[in-house]
Amino acid sequence: MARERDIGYQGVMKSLPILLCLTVLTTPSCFISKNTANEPLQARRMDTLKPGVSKASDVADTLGAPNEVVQLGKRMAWRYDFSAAKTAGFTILIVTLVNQDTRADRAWLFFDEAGVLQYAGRTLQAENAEYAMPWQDIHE
Amino acid sequence: MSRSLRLAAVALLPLLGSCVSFTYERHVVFEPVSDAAVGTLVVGESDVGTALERLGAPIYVWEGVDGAVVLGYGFENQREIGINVSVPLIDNGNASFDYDDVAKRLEGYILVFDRDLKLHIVRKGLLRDLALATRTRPAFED
Repeated sequence: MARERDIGYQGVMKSLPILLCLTVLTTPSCFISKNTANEPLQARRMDTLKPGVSKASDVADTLGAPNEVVQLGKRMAWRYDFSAAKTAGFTILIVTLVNQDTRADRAWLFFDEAGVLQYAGRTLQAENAEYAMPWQDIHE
Repeated sequence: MSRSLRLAAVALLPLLGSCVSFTYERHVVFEPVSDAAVGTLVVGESDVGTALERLGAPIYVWEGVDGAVVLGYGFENQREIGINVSVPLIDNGNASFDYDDVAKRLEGYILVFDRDLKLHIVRKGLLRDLALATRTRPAFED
């Protein structure tokens, strides 16, 4: 009886390397992650700002501090943005597939020499970011 | 297969991942602007407001030469295939050789408006290259 138990133990130990190999080969890993920067832009707040009427101080009160200020001679432009990046990856042994999709909400507000809002433009695409594999077309 | 060979194979597998790895990556950054929308802009007539209305917010705004305003629209859709090799040289260090073909570049349009904010120039290509020709240094650097 004890001898049979020994043979069983030895059999398991003998096949352990093969079992480990099979485990490694059959356990690929995948991962996803999402990174965001800044706060999402709020279209309703931006709609309250009127070109020709709103001043830079009104914009600051409504939207807060901009992410970037560009001086354009005596004029200036302010940028507000929010970005979202979704990353999906797949690894098996030494091969790794990764896709990163980054989209952004972005608004630029242009002020004249007197600091009055002249033009405003926005693009809201952050919510279009997708988890995908590198071969998938995600711009359709 | 001998027992020692199998053991060696098992021992090497975890190490292999840290020595050699193959990667296939795709980076998508922003969305492309529509060629048709850019085509509706008329040089000498369209102003910054029209461009913002039809194309949305640009990625970049620069001060151009002679009071010009430059808007940059672009996106990136790059695929990279890489092989990373790391060869241990001494006990407490290693040398890494990176063969990644990295080409992260935004391509799209540059719109140059004159000091009256009327469209003056439209160029298509890599923003990095186009920006060099249109951008002026910030005043505080002069």
